[in-house]
This record gives sequence, structure tokens and C-alpha cells, in this order.
Amino acid sequence: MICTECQPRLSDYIDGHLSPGERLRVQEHLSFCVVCAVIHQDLNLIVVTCRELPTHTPSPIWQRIQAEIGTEITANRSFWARLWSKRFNISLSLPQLVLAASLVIAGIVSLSVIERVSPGSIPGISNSASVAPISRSNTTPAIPDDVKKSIETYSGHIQERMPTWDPQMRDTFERNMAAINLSLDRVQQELAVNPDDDGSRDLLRSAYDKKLKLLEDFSEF
Amino acid sequence: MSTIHYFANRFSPSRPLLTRSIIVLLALGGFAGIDANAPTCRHAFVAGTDSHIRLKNYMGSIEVRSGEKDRIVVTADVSDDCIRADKKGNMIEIAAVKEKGIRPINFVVSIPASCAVTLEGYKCKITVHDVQGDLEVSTHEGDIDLYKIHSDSVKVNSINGRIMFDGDILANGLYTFDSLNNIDLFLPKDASFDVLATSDHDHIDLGGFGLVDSGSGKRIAGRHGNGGAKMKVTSEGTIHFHRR
Repeated sequence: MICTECQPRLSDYIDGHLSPGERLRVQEHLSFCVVCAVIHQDLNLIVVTCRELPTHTPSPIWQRIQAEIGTEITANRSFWARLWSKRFNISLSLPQLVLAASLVIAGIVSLSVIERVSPGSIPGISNSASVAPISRSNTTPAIPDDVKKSIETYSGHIQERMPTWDPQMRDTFERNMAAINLSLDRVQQELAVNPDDDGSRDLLRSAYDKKLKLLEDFSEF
Repeated sequence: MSTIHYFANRFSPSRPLLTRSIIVLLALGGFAGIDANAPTCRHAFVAGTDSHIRLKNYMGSIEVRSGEKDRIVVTADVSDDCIRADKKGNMIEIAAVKEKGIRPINFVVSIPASCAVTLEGYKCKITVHDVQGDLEVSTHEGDIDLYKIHSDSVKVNSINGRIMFDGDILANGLYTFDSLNNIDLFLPKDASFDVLATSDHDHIDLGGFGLVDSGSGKRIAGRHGNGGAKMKVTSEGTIHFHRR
């Protein structure tokens, strides 16, 4: 699978709507493609964050006023005007709007960063975004900043040195990194569905420890 | 008379000739099997009861056994310059020299039973027998097999290797096992411990260890016996407890 095939499927992948075969192919692609892995993590983050936003319930008075205005207006409107108002009748609180805006900005910034990363870069370790855990919610375990920073530092170092490695060592590294990324991916998906799953939290921490250890060990080469 | 019997009778060698032939063949076979130029290295250290050995290998294997009570002996199937060996106080550090090229090296180490052991392997199989001191083992891909361990501090981590532990659980001991691969634990049936086991695939087999207050599914926390020792097992494969 290539990036242009993978990216349109990411949304369905997160929602669990892909067939087992397609799901496996996407999973395989994500294990070695940094660009798609970052997009996947960002999408995942948006999904998790949105699920945790409080549902905005308008007060009864506002609902009544809205209903009265709505009845009067719709009675005098054309079909297209009614359709327009129906489609865009979204009510969001100020914090929700701020959060949505910041997510869009973050998405644009991360995509612009990704474009600067070469396509042949090291799977799963080439920049901080690729290793950044979903840590905004209270229920998802936060990965300590020092761990994230260390991963970032080691990743940079390894990316520079990797071309000089013995092919066998490189294979070992890539194989293990792919296994860890697959594990991280699986656990994050489970946490997105069930943020209170203690087992998945344990496995997430464990996978990050392994990632750090692998990077730390190979940074000596 | 069959053809076989005909030839057997016609060409049967005399007994002395047969004996000499066998000796020559055995000698030739022996010389062929032993390569006089095969590199080996050996390091021996005087060690006290509180000694600690740390060994690092990139590829190949490490085998550790308890041996003499006051000596640590390390052998490897490479020339001496491929191994770095240092002793600082009670700490003995052995490592494969990566500047000589990453190659499979097979270490065999003999230690006093009470010696603390730290082993680190990348693509390296690790086997440990009869150790009583603190034990810390980690690999990336190699399997880890631990037999007859009688230690109150055991920490075993592998990224992708299988882990097998066969040993005792001592009161107030700490035991951690972590891998993406399968973990098998052979424990005495009367062992007392508090355990937290997590597996990604809901594959935790308690093997007859009845736990008090156990959870279910992918995460099991509970107590066996009177508790005391703490055990943490994390795997993305299967976790099997075996009673012995």
C-alpha cells in the first residue's frame, strides 16, 4: 500500500470500518511510513478529544426562543434557504470553538512539518510528532515530557547515523521498531474506544519504555 | 548365495587391517572436527560473595551458570581483542567490542551463585542457570530462558523475545517480566505473591494458581498464598503460569 491509498482509509481505519485485510494493509503501511503515522495520530487525537468534549445543552429559555424564531423564519423561507440554515445550524460553546480552531492550526502546522521530512526517513522515529502520545485527556496516560524529549533526541541522532549501520543491525532495529509501533497503534486505538482501560494504559507505558530503550541502545552506533 | 554375501566374503578385510583403518578414520575425523585455529578467549576474575557481573553482547548468545564460589570465568568464541573486560571494585564489566564489527559471539560465563548478574543482548539468546543474586536481563530479539533461579530481585525485559522463568519466589522479592512476545513462568505451587499481569490478547493462563481478588480479561491483579513478593508481568503475547 502507498500513501495515497492509505490516507483516505485512515478515518475508516480509526472507526473500525475496514475489512480485516484492508485493516492489516493499513497497519502494515503505518508501521513504516512516518508521514501517514503522524496523520493517523493526529486524526486519532481529534477523535479522542472530541469524544471527551462536554455535550452542549442549550437552556430551556433559549430553546423556546429558538423554536419560535425558527418557526416564523422557516415559514417565509425558500427551500434552499431552509436547507442552508439546516445544514449549518451547529451550536458550539466558546471553549469548543477555541479547541476546534487550535486543533485545525495544529494539524496544519504538523502537516507542514511532515512535508519537510524525507519520505525515506526512519520508520516511526523521525520526528517528535510521530512519537507524541495522546496525552491531552485526563483518562489517557500522559507520557512524561522527559521520555518524549529523550525519544526525540535519540531519534534525531539515529536518523543521522543509520545510513552507516551494518545492514543486519538496521534490519534488527527496523523490525523491532515496527513491532513497537504496531503495539502502540493497537493500544492507542483501544484507548480511543475505552479510555478507562487500565490494561491498555499499562501496555501503552510498556510500549513507550521499549521504544525508548530501543532508541537508546541503538543511539550508540 | 546372494550378491551381498558373495562380495562380503570375497572382500572381507583381515582384523588387523580393519582395526588400523578404523583408527586412521577416527583420527582424520577428529582432526577435521577440531579447528586448532578457532579463536577463543578466556578471562578469569577473583570474586567475592557481593560481586556483580555486567555483560553486553550484540549478537549470538550468553549462557551463565553458577560455578566456583570465588571465581568468575568468562569464555567466548572470538579472539581476545573482540572482548572488553574490566574490573572495578566488585563490578566486572564484559562487552563485545562493536568497533571490531558486529558479529555473533557466544559467551559462556561461570559465576559464584550469589553473584549479581546484569545481562544485555540485542539479537542474542540468553540462558541463566542456578543464580541466587540479583538478576537483570534484557534483549531486543533474543529469547530469555532462566532455570533454577533463587533470587529476590529478578527483572527481565525483552522487546520481542520469549521469556521463560523457572525459579522460586522469595518473600518480599520483586519480579518483573515484560515482552511483546510470550511469557512462561514456572513457579512452586506454594509460592506466595501479589501479581499484576497484563496481556493484550486476554491470554492470561493462571495455570491453577487461584488468586484472591483477581480481575479478568487483559489485566489480572491478585494474591496467591499470603502475598508478600511482588510480581509484574506484561506481555502482548500470552502469559502462562505453570505450577511445579
